[in-house]
Amino acid sequence: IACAEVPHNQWPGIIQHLAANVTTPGRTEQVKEATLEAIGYICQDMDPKHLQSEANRILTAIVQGMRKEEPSIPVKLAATNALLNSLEFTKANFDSENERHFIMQVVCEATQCEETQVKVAALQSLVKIMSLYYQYMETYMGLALFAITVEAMKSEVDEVALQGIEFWSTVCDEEVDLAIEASEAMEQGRPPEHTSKFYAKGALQYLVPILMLTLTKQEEFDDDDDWNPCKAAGVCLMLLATCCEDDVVKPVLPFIQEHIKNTDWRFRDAAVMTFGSILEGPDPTTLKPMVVAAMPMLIELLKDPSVVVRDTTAWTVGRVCELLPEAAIDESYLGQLLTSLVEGLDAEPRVSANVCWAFSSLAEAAYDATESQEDEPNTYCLSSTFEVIVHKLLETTDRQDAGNSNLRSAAYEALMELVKNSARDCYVTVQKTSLVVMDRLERVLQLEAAVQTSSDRAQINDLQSLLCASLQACLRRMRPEDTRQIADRVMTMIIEMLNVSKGRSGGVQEDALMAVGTLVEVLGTDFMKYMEAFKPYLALGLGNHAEYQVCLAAVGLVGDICRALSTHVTPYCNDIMQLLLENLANDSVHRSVKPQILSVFGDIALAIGPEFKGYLKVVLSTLQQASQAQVDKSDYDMIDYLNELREGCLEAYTGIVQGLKGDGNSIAADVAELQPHVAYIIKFIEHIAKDEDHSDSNVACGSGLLGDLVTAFGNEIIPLVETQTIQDFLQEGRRSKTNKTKTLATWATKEIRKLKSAW
Amino acid sequence: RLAQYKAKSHDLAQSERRRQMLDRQKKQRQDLANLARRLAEDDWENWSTE
Repeated sequence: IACAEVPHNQWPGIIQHLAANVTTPGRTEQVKEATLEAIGYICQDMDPKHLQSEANRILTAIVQGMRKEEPSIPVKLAATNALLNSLEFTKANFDSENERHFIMQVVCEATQCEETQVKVAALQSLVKIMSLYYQYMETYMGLALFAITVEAMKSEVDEVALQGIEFWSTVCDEEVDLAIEASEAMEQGRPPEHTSKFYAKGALQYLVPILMLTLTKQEEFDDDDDWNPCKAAGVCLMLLATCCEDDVVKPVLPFIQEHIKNTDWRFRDAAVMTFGSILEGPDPTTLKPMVVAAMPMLIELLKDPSVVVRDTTAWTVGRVCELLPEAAIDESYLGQLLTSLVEGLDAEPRVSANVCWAFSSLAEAAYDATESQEDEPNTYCLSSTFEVIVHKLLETTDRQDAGNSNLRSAAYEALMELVKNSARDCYVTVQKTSLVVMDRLERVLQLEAAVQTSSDRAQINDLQSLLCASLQACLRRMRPEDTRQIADRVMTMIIEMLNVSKGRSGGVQEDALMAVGTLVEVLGTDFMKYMEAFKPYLALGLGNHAEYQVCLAAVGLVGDICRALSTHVTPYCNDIMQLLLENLANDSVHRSVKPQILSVFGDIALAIGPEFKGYLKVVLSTLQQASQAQVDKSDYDMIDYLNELREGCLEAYTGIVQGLKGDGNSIAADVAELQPHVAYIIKFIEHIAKDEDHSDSNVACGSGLLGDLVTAFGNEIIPLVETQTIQDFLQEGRRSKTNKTKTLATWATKEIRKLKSAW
Repeated sequence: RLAQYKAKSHDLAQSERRRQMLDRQKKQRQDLANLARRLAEDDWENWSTE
């Protein structure tokens, strides 16, 4: 009731009343407990802004209940839980040194309570305090927090140990953020607002032995969803490595060396887990020789009798492939590694899912190592085993137990990565894979009739999505002449998948539309032959407001079609434009679709050139409206959204100017239609320039558009772009770290200068 | 935190495929615009800044 009424000032006395229940002498234990529970729920559920003015009162009541002298455990527990929920709005109390000392004293004392639940709640509060008030913790760290949390980490009680570990994971999170802030500040030549106290580095040598010991407390048959100190220790070690970088290596090495061959699987597993956890953070050049030395042992451990060890080893190998790709493909053991990984695909689903992940990263590593100047290397280090791996992955997707541990998706995803990162001499296998995938798609489409339960439906949907995505990967890799030969078959299947009458999920339709996009790209104007048959399905996608991801994919596809068909798309534009405009005007269409629609206006304009004049009036008025959008600037997501929306406008204007101007050497007269709007467009760019939250990408698009306008309209608009704001905007672009932005801003500046000198 | 345990960052799930598609479309759109500006991608690396 308080949560409903207090925000509307309808129960102004409630907090005072509750606080008095706790602080007035003589109240019973039950009243105090119930009251503190109520305060706890209010703090948990209500927006902190409504409680700030009552913070002192609430805190006084809570601290009263938490005191050492409080004899009742239930009261203490209710008070400690309430404190945990109140921390967000007691900033003013933490800002005051005396009050902060007092709160910290009470919380630290509560961590020493004999009762586990109170201890855990107090430790949870310390974790939250560390994350909210890191900058104030220096006084308490050496005196109390270090000792309290290290003791907790060693506890036999899981809940207590978990909070001890979580405290240090939180310290790492904070200090990683602070390191990022420091490097950003350094780049901008200013001091950072907050500084790291490097607690993690200082405590490293004490924490690491406890964490490694905790890693040996594995559950033999645990559930994936269980959370326990062993898993928490793994995560904490990983975060410490990210935070402390090179410093983490020395304290962990002796443990790894001592236990990697231990007869007890728990220690072997802990050693491998430790090794896998520190692969990100330290300098790769420091790690590489260690990894190269360890790989033969890891390859051996992929066949360990313990499934837990095999799983951790497969994960570690996957991390090596991803984080230290050069070490993964070292020729001294690559052959052995590939053999073991292929064998690993027969292992338990959790192990083979990790093996699939390793293959995904390995494919990328092998491809990048070719450093081919051309698009596609002739051969690479996976060439000789490529067919075997692909064959085995296809077999893995068909395993009876592939539904466990996400194995089926992992295997298809590895397959896609291999195809994507394949050398020329693997082409026949890629081609064969496309045929297998198409056969499977056809088979699964025939299975539709047998779908009975919702779980059958979900499985079939997932499979169709994965097959569709695999097909796309193949199509991107295939020679256009080979793609043309299978295009009819592909389109028939896709149209069947877009047939929404059978309860297919939006996910399937989305992947199907993306597959069409790939086909359009490869076929170019040859896609024309499918347009009549495909048109109704494109319209269905554009009209799918409920599943906005489908709508988004359809909008993107319109852009692909425009780029591929160019003027040939003209006969379809009336229908498409109508649907796009309807979507823009419709409030129920998800906002993320709208910037894409604006960009696609540009694609259409560029494709059909002067034919776009028929839509000019309505589109310009829509752009004017969209360009005036305003958002709540306190919401970072909305700032990003506004930048996307503006970018959509800039891309639309760009397509329109370029389309009307024509691509010949002389400027087409049609561009004059835009003349009355030029001043507004430049004002819009100025508006973006003045917004300090604009993105680098906005600067790139804005600069490009300025260059296009100057090229199209010449001298008459020079005064409009001579303003300080525009000059500063272009200068920002020229100084950008992004090559694209720099180039566009430099080009636009040159175009302006060229005109001025001729003037 | 549970999601961070033995996390696999390689992700070709649908959301990632969607992101890649949007990036590809944006790049193609911009390449086409730059082609009209005679700013082909290949020339960018060697573009001389004054």
